[in-house]
Amino acid sequence: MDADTSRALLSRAIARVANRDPDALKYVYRHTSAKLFGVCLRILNDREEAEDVLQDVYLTVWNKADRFDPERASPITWLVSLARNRSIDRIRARGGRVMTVVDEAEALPDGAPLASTLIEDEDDRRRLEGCLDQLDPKHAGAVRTAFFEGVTYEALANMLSVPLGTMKSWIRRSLISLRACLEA
Amino acid sequence: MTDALPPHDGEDRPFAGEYALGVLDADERAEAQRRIAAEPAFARAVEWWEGRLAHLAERIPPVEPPVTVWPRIANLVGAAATQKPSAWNNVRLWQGASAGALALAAASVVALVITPRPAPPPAVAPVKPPPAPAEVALIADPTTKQPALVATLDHAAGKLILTPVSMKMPAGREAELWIIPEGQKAISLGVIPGDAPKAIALPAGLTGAGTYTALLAITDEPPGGSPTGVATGSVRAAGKFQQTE
Repeated sequence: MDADTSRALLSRAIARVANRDPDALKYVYRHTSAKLFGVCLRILNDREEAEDVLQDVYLTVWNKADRFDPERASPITWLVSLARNRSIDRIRARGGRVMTVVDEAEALPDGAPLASTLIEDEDDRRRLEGCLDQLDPKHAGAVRTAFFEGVTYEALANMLSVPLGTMKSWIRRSLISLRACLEA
Repeated sequence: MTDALPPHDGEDRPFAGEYALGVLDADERAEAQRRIAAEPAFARAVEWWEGRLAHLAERIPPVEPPVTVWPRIANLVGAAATQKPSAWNNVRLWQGASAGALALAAASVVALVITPRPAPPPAVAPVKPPPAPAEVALIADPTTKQPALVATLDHAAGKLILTPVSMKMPAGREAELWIIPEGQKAISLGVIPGDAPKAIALPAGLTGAGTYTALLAITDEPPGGSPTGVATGSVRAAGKFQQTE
């Protein structure tokens, strides 16, 4: 199945979930749960918590599927963002427990193969990578680590051994540059 | 497109981007979530950032969640309570069918599947005028011809009623059902139970005449179904629809 077809089927399934169709929710779960579980695990580093958050994510899909607008977001982006936000809220709630080793965090982005089977628009992905490549490599590394770990400025500063103020400045300047680059 | 762009909310503090990236602490996140609910422009800015940054997640390898997660979710959303009673009549009918009738049906369906081209189905009985309310597919093991599953199409409900006959999967593998419209790629209909009947919705766009010429197939997949959306295991059974009398 190509990317357009799987995206269209997934969007349609989410629309059916909004109409309270449990089979549609099962379809969404079947096609996205491994991806979302990977995202939750990546941030939480704890299988049991990741399972809880995953369950919570699909219950949110069940209750808020009507908020998904296929004109504005791709279904997998919407789901991944939901999973990341729930996972991040969860680690904030448990306090600043930082478990991931920095080496691993830095090894992932460039070393890992493209794992998604729900491949998004390749052009958009390349564009983001291209814009990240234009940043100072240290800043780009901090942005990637922030994304993959979901940690606060403070934890990020500790992980990368940079003063807090410097880290905030790196990330904010990076976001402003990224926005300009992505809008260009 | 322009309305999708984030507002330039102060060049020194791209707050929506910080939220989407995930660097804010608990209090700031709560503040951002309050603004998402209250300020449409801020919500759009967050959406814009999420739409872009989410591409990084493609580098995160998928991990199969334990099989216990879905039943918990299904239970919480009341998935078990939604079976349509009318569907069960067909199930009963098929459960009550004699072994001989099943074998006969199996033989004719298998003939349809494995014969390279047209070869009309063997006429075992005079064809009766068909005000057929449902079409039936017998899905059988391609080598042993042992029927694995009976699928009955319920037009009114747009559903496919699945009744397992004898479905054996290798240890640690689950049966995933696929529908393959003529000349198209397989569409997953999901993991199906080997021991209990089940009604599933047909994918939208597949409820028309194309369904009858489609091939149904079962492959063995990892728990939860193929992680890729494409069949990864072997074909354990296959079959097509035929008219009922």
